Amino acid sequence: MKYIEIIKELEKKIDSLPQESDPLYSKNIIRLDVSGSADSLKELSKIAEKIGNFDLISNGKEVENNNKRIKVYNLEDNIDYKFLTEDRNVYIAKAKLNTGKIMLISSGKKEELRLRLMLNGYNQIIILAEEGSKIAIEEFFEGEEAGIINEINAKEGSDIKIDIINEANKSLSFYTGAAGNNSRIEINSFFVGEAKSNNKIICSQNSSAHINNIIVAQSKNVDITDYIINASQNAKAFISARAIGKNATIFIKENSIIEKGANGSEANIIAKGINMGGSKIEAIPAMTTNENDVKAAHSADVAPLSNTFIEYLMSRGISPKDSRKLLLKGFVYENMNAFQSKDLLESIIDNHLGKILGD
Amino acid sequence: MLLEIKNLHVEVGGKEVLKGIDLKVGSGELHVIMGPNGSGKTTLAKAIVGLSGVKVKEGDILFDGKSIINMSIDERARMGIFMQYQNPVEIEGVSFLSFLSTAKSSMEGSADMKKLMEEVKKGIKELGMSEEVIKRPVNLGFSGGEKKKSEILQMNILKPKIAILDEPDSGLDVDAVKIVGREISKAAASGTGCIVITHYTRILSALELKGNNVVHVLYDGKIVENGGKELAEKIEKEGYSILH
Repeated sequence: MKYIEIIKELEKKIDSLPQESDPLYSKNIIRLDVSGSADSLKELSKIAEKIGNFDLISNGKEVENNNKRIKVYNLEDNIDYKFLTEDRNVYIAKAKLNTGKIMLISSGKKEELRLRLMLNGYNQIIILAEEGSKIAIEEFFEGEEAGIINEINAKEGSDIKIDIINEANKSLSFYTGAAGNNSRIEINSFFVGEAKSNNKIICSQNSSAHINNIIVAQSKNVDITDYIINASQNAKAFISARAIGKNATIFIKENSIIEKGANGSEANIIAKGINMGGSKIEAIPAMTTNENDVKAAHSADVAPLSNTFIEYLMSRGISPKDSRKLLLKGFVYENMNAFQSKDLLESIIDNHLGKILGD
Repeated sequence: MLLEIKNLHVEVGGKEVLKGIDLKVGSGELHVIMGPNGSGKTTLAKAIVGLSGVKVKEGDILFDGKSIINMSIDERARMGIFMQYQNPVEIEGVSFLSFLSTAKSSMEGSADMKKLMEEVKKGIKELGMSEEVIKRPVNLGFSGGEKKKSEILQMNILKPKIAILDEPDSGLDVDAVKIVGREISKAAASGTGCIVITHYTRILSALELKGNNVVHVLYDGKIVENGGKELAEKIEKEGYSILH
């Protein structure tokens, strides 16, 4: 199937989801409005009532149980996600979805929403961070096939961070973001399966956008295209992609566009690949600058793992396989470090590198 | 004998670089190999460690009485052979501590992190380094001097039976040369056989050289002179032209 056909197919599936006028709509939307000062559990209870298809868990115990498929945890009772700050109300939810629409809205200043989503099938997520609020989401793709469209809107002074851990066998993902003045959008993605991904973020004045990609692919086709557009003054764009491929075809096309009038802007692109044999890896950074007063830099390289490096580690008693693994993990470390669940991701990467190295 | 090199002939890129080297180093002995550029000093080090690019054509290298020429680099390292690199590589994303703990576990089967951390901190202090290196990626952004000290630190932590130190003094200031020299002497005193490869004599004053057969001059792939500290002093005074 051609790329455009796949996109059309995906759009069709998204369109066929329940719409707002549809009575089913409420069952497919999680709307977490975290404004106000009500305590998180109470607030989430109201939402649960509204949606009606929810698991609600307090102190680790389930309190509602009517054909529920979505679980919400009270942050303070979930040690794994404990995140307390002096001046922020923090809400955390876990949801497991199989084809649906989700709206995430943080609407109060000093509000923080954290969400972990397990996604199967085709999903659409609309994320809106109102002024001064903060949203941090982890999206896990699993299963045979996954498709996702994220629409991201970071209003003035807000901060949106999305980590995507994509272990689906086949996936399509589209993220479009608008970073308002003084806001920040960060998208970190890990791909291991057949994947086509397209991210586009537009940056307003004094805002910043960060895109980090890690690709670990064996006998897969991966096609990543990212754009960050600096549309106004002092906007900052950072793109970093690191790919490890064995018998894989990987295209990384990282693009920065600095528009006329975006003086004081910065853009930095890094696209690197390690070919572990039999792969075709293309790392293409492209920069378009239509303004003079800017800082823009890019670098790209694709190479096999250096024998000199392997031998150095071996000379310290480390086996050839462990030396390679250490170097490969080091290669992706900086990008991996950007993820919220970096320890979990490290173990996932470790597992996939093991397969590449023949564990 | 810990290390015994017998009539070693080595080729690099099809050209014979070592033309029959004989050398014996025992536990706790400190030897110095001197020689002009291109005499084969680094090739000898690489041949002992087993690095690629050098091909043993004739002769043997025995370690603890066993031939090691068909062993891999990591096998030799785990037997207790260590090399301090002249230009160690910079490894992004791998912290110095993580690297050392992996090396230590490979050598000993496991690494006691608490003990390792204590040892590293102690070693860092003795070498006059900053504790920052623990978190930094291996050798990345290190100055020339820091890289040399980092290699010495690795030697102190891994405690090899034999250490080949390839120009440990190059790029170091006077005080750093004294520190590195002192650490090498300490390693030898604690039982590590040490082979220091150098062009210059300045590190020799910082080394505790004992005996009349510990300075070896390598010239055109052969050891042409053996002696004690006085041989090094002669070379310092008259240069390698005495060999012509």
